[in-house]
Amino acid sequence: MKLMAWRSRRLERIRGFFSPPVFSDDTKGRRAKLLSYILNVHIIVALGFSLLYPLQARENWPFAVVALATCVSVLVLRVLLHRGQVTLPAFLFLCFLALTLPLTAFFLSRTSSMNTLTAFQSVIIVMAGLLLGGRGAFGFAVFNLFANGMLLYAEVQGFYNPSDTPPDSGSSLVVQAVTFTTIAVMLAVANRSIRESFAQAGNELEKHRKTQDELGQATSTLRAVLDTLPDAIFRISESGEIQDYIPAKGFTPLVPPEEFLGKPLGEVLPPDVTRAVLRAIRLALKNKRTETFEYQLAREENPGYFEARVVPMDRSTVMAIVRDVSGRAQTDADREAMLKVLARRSAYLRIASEVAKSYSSILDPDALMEQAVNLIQKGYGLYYVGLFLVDEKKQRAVLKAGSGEAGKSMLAEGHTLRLDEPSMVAWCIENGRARVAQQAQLDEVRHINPHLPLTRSEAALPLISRGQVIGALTVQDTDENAFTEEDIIALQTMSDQLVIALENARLFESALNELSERQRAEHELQQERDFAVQVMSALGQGVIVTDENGNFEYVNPAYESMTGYTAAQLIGKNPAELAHPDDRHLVVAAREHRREGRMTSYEVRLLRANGDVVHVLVTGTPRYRDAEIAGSIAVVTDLTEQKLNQQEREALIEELEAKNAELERFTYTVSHDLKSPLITIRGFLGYLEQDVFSRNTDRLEDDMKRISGAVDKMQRLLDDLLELSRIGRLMNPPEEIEFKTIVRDALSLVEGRLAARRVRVEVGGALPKVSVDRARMTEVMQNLLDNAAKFMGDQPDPRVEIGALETNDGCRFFVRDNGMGIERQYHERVFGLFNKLDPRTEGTGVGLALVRRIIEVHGGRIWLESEGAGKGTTFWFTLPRGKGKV
Amino acid sequence: MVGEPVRVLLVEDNDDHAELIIRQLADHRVANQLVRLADGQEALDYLHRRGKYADPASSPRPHVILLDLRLPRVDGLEVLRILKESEDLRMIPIVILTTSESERDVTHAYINHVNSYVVKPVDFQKFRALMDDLGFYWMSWNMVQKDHP
Repeated sequence: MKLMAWRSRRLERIRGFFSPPVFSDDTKGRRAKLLSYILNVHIIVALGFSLLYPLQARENWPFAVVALATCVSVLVLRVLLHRGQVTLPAFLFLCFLALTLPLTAFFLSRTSSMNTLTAFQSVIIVMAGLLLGGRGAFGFAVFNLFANGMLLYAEVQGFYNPSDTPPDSGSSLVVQAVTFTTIAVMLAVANRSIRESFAQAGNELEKHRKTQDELGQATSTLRAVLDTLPDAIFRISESGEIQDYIPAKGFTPLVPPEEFLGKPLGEVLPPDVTRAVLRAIRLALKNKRTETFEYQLAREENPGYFEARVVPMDRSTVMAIVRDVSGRAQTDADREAMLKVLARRSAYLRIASEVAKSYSSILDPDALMEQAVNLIQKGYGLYYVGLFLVDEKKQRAVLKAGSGEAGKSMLAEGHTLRLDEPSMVAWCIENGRARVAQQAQLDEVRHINPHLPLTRSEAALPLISRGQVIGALTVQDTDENAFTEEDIIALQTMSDQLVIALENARLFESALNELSERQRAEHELQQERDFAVQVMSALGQGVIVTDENGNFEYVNPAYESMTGYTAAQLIGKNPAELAHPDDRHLVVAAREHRREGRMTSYEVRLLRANGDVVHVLVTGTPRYRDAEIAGSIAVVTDLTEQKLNQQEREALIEELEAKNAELERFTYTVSHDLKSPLITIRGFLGYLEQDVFSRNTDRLEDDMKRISGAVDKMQRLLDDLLELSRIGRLMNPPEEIEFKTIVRDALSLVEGRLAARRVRVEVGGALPKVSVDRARMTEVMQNLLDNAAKFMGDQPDPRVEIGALETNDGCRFFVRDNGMGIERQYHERVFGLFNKLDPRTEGTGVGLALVRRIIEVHGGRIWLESEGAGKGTTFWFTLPRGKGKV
Repeated sequence: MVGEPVRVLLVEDNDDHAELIIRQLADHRVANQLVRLADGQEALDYLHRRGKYADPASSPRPHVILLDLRLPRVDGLEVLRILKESEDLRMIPIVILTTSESERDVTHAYINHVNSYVVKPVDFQKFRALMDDLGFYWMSWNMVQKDHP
């Protein structure tokens, strides 16, 4: 590094040596430059020759010497040039050349050619013109002519003998004279014109330089003015981009200029200030006049107040001249004092804000008070801070929070101060004012607390809420005179805040309690409701609740299943829509009744979702909401089962009545028919007695016969009745039997009678199997066949046909005869007990009653068909297939 | 009392009872003329002069009818109802003479405008006394409507 530096320094110096010196004179500088180049060229050329000649031929050394000498002399001239001389080295150099050429030609006779010499001499004259001006050129032209004349003379005298002597040396000299003169004149003219143009350019340049100087001066003056001004200047575009900035001594930008230049205001300034600036820019541009406004910037050390003037520059650019007015009209001392106060205030503010922050964030009063005392204690660097609240009886101040260990132990002890005993806190609470003891031990009311032995000054501040002292804040310090008036004011302010926060916390707590109470009540209500819903869901009866419009608001599951609609389908609908069209008026009427506040109970038919009809009993009461009737609540009982029961009951009653009637008829019949023979017997016995007494024997035999006939009849009646009464009580277990078998049994029993009346019996082919009491069923067939035979009348070809038909409900059997037939009105009577159509026929009239009874006991029924007298009769009866009800 | 014979129509299915009644009435020489029919249908035919009773000579109007209740074919109460609904026949006094003491029968009989309802006593003496009284009352004491024109 060092070496390189050194080397570069050396190179610099060499370059400096070979470069032209700078002159304030233009001509001189230009000539010096030219000379410098010429000299440099000569040094190189001379140095080259001094090396080349000896290499070419040894005998050339004089040339080398001359070249070397030239080189040295040229270096000397350069030194002169650097010394500030231009004309002298130029002159010496030209003289040297002008002398060297003819001398070299003379002595060495090498460049004997006059032409070569003349060419070199011409160059010398040109160089003289350039370096020394027109006169120099002339001088050297004259000198060259003179030197050539001398050479000519030497040639004429024979001292000089050039190898190429021109034919006419005299005329050659004249030509040279003219040539040299012309060159010199031209050079002089050129030189002058150049000088003139240079002079003109110089003048122009001078003028420019002058203007520039003036401008520079003006600028620097302006700068100086601006520098001394306290205002910083910003060039700002309409859009708020900061384009330029001129700083000011009294102004420190928020960020260094490179951070805001070319950027929009919003990136540098707070939003409110940005808005104000943009507004001012807009107004300034619009009204084309200066807008002034003030703003504030929060800076690290203190807030800065600024005054800005916004001046419109062109259509879209303004200049903002900003002055920091924070420290205006304040002496340094004032400012310092203010700063101190500010620092303290800001400390208070900081504490206050911290306290306030905790006040607003802590909603538990106890936690709030604890936080408050600790914050105040730490924030003010106090010894102890405690907070007392007056108890409900207003007799004591109870410590609610205390800072540090002392506070903890006092709280644990349940520290209280009686209000009627002297203490600073009690005094403060009684008087509603702060009490300050700058020398605590001297205060007359102060209560000495063993937990706080280091207290030297103390203040008690009242906690006042809505004009009532609710407690006090005690602050204690280990130094005397610790509390300035400002401290007390700040502490009092903080106390006031604390009171508000406490009130808020208490309100919140009570609100919270109320909320939880309400939630509990709501929960209970919810449970009650759940219970009610459960009950209603579990109820077998339908429960419906309607709203003030009479539409469903609630239906329970039982009602859903009763109607076949879901609750969702029903809610909002009118109950009348569900009623049977013929019953809708009932529903509407009931609703009107309930609207009048009456209870209703009515039966109605509802149409289920599937179209079925369901009978229900609706018992409704008005539903009250805020003492207003708002809909109704009704219990809906499904009467279907009841109806069925009722029908069943009615059927049973009917049956029972029928049975009763039958029984009555039976007893009546029995009493009548049984009495009849008795009357006969007694009657004729009476006559017998009478006749026997009067010895009239004419009628004896007849009467006796009558009596015995009546007795027989009575015997038969009693037997039949017994038989009838047995049916249903004394039955044989049913057996599966071919009906044909029964028919055969019966036929064998009545064979004699049928034969006596020549009755032909035909039995149908397909007779089914039945499950019956075989003996009884044989009795049935026997009676029917007997009957048929008995009432054949005067039928010449008596026939009886027995057969069966398969039907849906079992087998239908028939016994058909072609006898006398039965008139329609007697079709039912024939089955009655003791009913006889013909009094002269044999039998008691029990037969068909017995038949009916047996068939009915088997679960079948019996009836007869007859077209009337002489048309024959068909008895039909059914028997269940398979197992009968026996 | 003595004079025009009283015609009695007895409707009684029980032959024995009919014999007893006839003997009683005969004993007391009450019924000069008595027709006995054995069932309700026949009685109606007789009174309406239908069938074999079509000739008014063979079916003179009775002055009083003794009607049993339990009758074959057409029940006594039915006969009573039909007679009492008939313009021509309803003025004929009808005495129900039956073994039935059933309340129902009594009620129905009176509903159908029966003139008297008498139960046959089982006891012979009582039966005799009843027939005496009945005979005297209806055939002697009671004014009967004279023969129709």
